[in-house]
Amino acid sequence: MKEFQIEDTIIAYMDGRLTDSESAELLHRVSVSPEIRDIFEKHVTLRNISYRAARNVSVPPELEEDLFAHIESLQEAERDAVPVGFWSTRRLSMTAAAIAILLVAFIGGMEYHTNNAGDIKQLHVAPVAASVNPASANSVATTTMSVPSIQNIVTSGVAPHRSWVVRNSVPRIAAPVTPVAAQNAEQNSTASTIQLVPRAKEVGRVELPRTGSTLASLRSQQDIALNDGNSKFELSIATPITSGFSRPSNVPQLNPFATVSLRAAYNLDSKNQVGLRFTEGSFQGLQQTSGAGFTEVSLGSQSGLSGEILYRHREPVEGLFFVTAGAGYGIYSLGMLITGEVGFEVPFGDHLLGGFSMVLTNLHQRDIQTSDAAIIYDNGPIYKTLDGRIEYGLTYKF
Amino acid sequence: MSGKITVKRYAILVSLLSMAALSSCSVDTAPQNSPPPEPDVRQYYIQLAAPRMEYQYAVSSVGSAYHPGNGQLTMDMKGQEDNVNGTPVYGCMWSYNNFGTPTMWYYSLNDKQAIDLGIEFSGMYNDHWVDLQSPLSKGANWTFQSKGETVTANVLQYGVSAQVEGQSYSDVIMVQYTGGSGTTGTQWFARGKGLIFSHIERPGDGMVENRLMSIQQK
Repeated sequence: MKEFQIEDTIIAYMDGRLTDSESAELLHRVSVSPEIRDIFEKHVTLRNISYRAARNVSVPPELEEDLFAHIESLQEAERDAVPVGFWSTRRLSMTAAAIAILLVAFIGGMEYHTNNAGDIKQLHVAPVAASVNPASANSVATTTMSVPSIQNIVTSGVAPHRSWVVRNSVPRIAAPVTPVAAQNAEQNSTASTIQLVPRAKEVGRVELPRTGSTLASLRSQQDIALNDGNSKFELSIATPITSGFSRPSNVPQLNPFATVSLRAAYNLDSKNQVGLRFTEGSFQGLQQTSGAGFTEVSLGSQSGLSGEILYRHREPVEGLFFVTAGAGYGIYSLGMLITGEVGFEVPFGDHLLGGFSMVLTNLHQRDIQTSDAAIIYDNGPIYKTLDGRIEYGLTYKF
Repeated sequence: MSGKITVKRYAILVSLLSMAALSSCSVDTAPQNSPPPEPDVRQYYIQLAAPRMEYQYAVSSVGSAYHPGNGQLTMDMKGQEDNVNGTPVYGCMWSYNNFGTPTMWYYSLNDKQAIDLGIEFSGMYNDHWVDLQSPLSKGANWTFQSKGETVTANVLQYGVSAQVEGQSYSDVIMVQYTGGSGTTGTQWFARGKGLIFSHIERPGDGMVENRLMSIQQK
């Protein structure tokens, strides 16, 4: 019992929980009692071992295989994201950049996450390799990447796996534990470790080390695509930015800002969503007036409402922006409609996206209802028209 | 992994194809722009020069002593019957299925004018209603005297579409008539067919409406 009591006191001393007088008394007893000194030294040794164990994790082979498989899948996903044909990587990048600049200029602000108000440094971080113990809530991992790559992780706060995040990471020197790490150690004098913890909800806002320059988190879209998987809902508003067109060509054409659409969607996953879209604005439609013994039908632009059920897909491209495609089906004031759209979206922070879409809407108007046996059509009996527009919109995810 | 890639590519491809399909199908054909002025009114008039050509109309009238309230009118073309000032006059037998007796009506027709002369009474035609006058185009107008009333005709629609008694017609002209004594009405003429709809109200004559049902060569 006495031995347990002294052990508790030694542990409390090592944890820094003793007062100065208690510490002095313990050290005095250590100096005068060989038994107590022996126990004390054992605890010191044990604590040193645990420190070393904490700094170097022995990685099971299956875990390592799993990690490399994940890295490979990330790399394939990046390669896969390159569109074929007309859209070269360069063209896509330039387009995305131009759109991003325009949007930023238009919106007049971005959603920053920064530790200090000061210089902003944009970061784009490629996935990196790191081995972690998933069973541990706070794990120190040994990577096979070079020190600059580790520094990159530390600077950006982006973890190599979506369920982990870098916290208070400071590159540390550790003994190489794999052949690759050993090679890195030769090239860079050392391999490094980073501390990883399970991802919290506010992953982008973790405290990062201050190394002289302010951190920014205008993060890569790929990062956002991964991080924001738990945003289940989103709302968006869009309006045509240019004159639209209508087919047949001799029907009245759409004007800029002629319509406003609101979309509420549920994200099935990070790429697919279903939702509802409500549009208020101009539609091409036949309207009737009564004549003497007949009905006169003319085609014109009419105000109306539409409601659609829609499916939409987002595909991240090159970690810069999304390509979107969607289809909708619903009704409008005069009949039914089918809508298709393709476009781009650029993220601004965790929850906000802005983008452009080319939207085509096929309108099928109901037959004219009249008791007259004679109908004359000023522009022809055009019940099916096609409206096309380029619209821009903002989306908020939550 | 290749399966995932294929699915993504298919998704994009399907989207693009959907857009293409939307942009090309299920859109009604554009009506042709207003056709050029027509110098020959016969292109839009009943085929008077074709004997035994029969036009059948659904008729309704209100307050008219010379037409049934509801019935069918058959107009049987008799060919050229006369000549007035060098213009052919054609005869057409009007018979209602439930009203009066068959009566011969006369029309003066050349490329310049199509004139409804009415019936012959004491060696005289009793009317001079200018149905059409060349050149025919949207906005064209003419004036004539009918039973002592000055009537102005205006081409309100030209080259449009119409539907009468369930039948569709293209290249239709719509003429509106307005008389100084209160006559109003419209008549529609389809190219290659002739009169397909007529709704005329005249003081003292009431309202008479004719809607083309069929054209048949006997």
